[in-house]
Amino acid sequence: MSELDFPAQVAAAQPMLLKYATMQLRNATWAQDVVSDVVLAALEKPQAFSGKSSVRTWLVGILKFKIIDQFRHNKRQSTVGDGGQYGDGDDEPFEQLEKLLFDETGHSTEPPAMWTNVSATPHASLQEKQFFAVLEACVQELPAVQGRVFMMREWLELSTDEICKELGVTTSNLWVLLHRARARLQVCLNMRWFSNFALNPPSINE
Amino acid sequence: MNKPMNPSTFKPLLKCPDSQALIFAQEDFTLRWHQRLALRGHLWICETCTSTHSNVAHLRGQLERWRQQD
Repeated sequence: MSELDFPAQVAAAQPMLLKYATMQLRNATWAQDVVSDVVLAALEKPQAFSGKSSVRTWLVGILKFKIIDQFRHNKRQSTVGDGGQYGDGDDEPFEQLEKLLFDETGHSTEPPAMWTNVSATPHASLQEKQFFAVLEACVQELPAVQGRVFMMREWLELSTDEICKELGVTTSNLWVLLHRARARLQVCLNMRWFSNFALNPPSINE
Repeated sequence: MNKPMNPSTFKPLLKCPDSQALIFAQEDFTLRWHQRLALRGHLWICETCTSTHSNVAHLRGQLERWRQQD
């Protein structure tokens, strides 16, 4: 790769970095700040890029570290002003969701569609990209605190102990938050992808 | 909750919402032995929760690929 390629690749990765930063931080200003830090760090020390991975993967790695720093820096602000504490709190829409999913005897009202393996279908690469777009849309629709916690677990790959420590929540609070995030995600993916996918698989021309 | 139970069905120890809570929790926490046992028993008789269990495993694989996408 020539030196001229590097800044262009960093610039091209910015929208992707901003998307992940926004999904994780749920705050446009913080996301912009953290992406600016990543871009500056990359452009100031291009020699730090060893070339063992793609520029994109390398930048995502830096972004993850910067986001964790941002969490620590904004610890106080991140527990207030986003519509709720990190406790389970009242989540009336979730209660309503459970009422839709389960009848009064505690049984499911409708069995979920069996999810087929996206990567095992024809045009797998295209379909996987489409699936990831739907997945990201579903994560973005999670309530802020649940979305943030879900991303910390699944994208930043922090352990539950680390998340509890970073956010100052108890294990049982985290249990509830992750349960609700995963349940909502399940419903969203069922509606947005798997039901449609089973009935009408996307074609290569879409 | 007070509806009579269908005599042809075996009443599970767990209800579906509890079972699904344990299925999701398994992704992040280590369940206690009695929770694992109760979940296994429920999955043995509940087709819906078995589908959910399978879907959660499927999503685990997709999330892995999502993290590694380039």
